Amino acid sequence: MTATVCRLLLAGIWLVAAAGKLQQPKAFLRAVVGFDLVPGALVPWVAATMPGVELAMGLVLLAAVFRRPTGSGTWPALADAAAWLSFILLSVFTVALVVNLLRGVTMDCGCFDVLGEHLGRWIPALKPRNAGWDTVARDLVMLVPAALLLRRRSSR
Amino acid sequence: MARRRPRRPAAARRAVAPSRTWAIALLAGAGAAGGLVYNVLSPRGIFAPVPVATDFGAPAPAVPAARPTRTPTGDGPGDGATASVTKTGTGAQATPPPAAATVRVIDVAEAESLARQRAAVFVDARTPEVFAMGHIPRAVNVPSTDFAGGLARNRPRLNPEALTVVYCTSEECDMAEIVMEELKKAGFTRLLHYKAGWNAWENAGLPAEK
Repeated sequence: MTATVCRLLLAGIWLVAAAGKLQQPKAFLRAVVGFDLVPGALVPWVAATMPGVELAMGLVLLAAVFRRPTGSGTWPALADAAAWLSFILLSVFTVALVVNLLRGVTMDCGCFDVLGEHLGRWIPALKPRNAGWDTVARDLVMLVPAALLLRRRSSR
Repeated sequence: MARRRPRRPAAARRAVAPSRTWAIALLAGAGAAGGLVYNVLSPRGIFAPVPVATDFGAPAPAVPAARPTRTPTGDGPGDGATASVTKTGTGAQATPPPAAATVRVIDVAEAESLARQRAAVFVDARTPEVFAMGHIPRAVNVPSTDFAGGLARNRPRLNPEALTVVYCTSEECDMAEIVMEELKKAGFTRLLHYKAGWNAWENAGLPAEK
């Protein structure tokens, strides 16, 4: 089922991303500072809440694999919300990255790329690096499962 | 598709299912609240105080000369490994002098020793905003984005003849390498690369300076 695959992929992305940020919250705070896009007063709020949001999306999407959201009601609405929030946030991150690349801002956002760290031991190309256009490409690829989930109606 | 539950009146069904916007807001809000609680409660959270270095390390010893060490205080030219014997023990072997082109990489234990014993000058290659949030005690900030400015501002503390350790955030960033290249061009010969960077220093619970 396409939906199951999409949910699994997205859940994996969010859970791994959240795990990295929850393990090193201050490193993520510095990454948000380094991104230089969030106004100063909001930086701690963004840094504190983002890992929680990613975890929430990941958990809901993972649960939706095992308990299919059918019909209408709270659960399908929640699963639908997770898909939408995934798409929205992934889009925001991609735009933010592109903006910074065009601005020439130096960022090193690989520091909590936990999955990349582990996979990178065998596949050097996946090793976390400074964020660049290849990261944009990776983010665009991640948008695909999110977009596919949005095409579904919540009554399935 | 067969229904397993009896139909409910349409109005009740709509009332039970939140609208899409509300559902998104609720999910985001719940996640955000969870993230906030975690950061407030966790000792690693962003609101947790940074252990500030009130007195990190001994008073400065005499300038380390080329003499072989009887106590692991300093380092001869190109031999920065002896200082870490006292600590966790990694990297406690002597190393050959670095080739002119390559810079030796040191780990967090060795970096801590050098910092504690004030045997090297630490250069933080990150941006000033992130530097201000916490850096290795007595490090100077020479951002990779403003090498000339950073060098000029910190001239009094930077000596091309002195042992200089450069670091940035983590193994993934390249800011330290950029700064090291510039330092080499500026005549710095005794460079060490603390590759694990600030993240590893912080994770090890070592003190910071703001």
